[in-house]
Amino acid sequence: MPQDRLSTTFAALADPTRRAILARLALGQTSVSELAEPFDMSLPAVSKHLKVLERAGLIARGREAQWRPCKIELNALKGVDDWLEEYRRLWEQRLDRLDDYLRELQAKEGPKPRETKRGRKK
Amino acid sequence: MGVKNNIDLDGDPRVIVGVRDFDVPRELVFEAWTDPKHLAQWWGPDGFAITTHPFDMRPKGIWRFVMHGPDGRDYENRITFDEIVKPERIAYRHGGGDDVEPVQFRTPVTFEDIGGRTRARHQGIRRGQGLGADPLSSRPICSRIGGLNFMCL
Repeated sequence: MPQDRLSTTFAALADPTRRAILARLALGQTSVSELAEPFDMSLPAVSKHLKVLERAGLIARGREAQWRPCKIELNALKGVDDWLEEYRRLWEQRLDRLDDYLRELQAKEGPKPRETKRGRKK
Repeated sequence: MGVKNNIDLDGDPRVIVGVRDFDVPRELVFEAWTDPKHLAQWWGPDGFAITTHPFDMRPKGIWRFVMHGPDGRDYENRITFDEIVKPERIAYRHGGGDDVEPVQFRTPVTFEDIGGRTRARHQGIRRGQGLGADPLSSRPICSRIGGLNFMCL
């Protein structure tokens, strides 16, 4: 997923109401008025949030004129998921290298070298 | 047990929080995280070599470095240190400017002394897009959606 698209997705996810809307839509598609019910909000306000979510590709709206059901689009979430996995991998490897390097440094610089135990501690 | 090592989204999906324990005193961890000659040894990513420029270790100090990728490409990087409180915490920004890679992250890192060892907490906060009212305190609604089990909405 391109960076700018991902930024739009993250911006859409930044709002707690929009996250709550997505959490509701994860249970199944629904109408705007049904969606608005648990929130203390006007329909136009909810529609505004839905537009942001739709632009970010996080939801899709049905084409039926009256009842335009909203449903969650998993692809955009998958993009976030992939991105997070990438980030996690980068940092885990980075901190693994730091861990090794710190042990080297300490072995070299440490005034009283401690017993070094490689690997994970129990 | 006793060793912490995890990275996950916080309540705000643009904030990623990571915790890692190191088996050395925090002065050493702090030094390794703030001296370019040390940084070049572990920054990575895997398979990348780094050419680093020296920099002043003070607030607003800028660390410029080039990551030489395994694909033969060079990646220009810039990190600006916003905060340096030895040996407790630092905060830096990655990116900024057209001449560097499009990375837009703010990263506070804290170093906690846990009985001679060190617990480092690092956050990755995506920049731009105007943060909401108070994203850090917003309560996460964790859902399992379409098998994305760590997606925290």
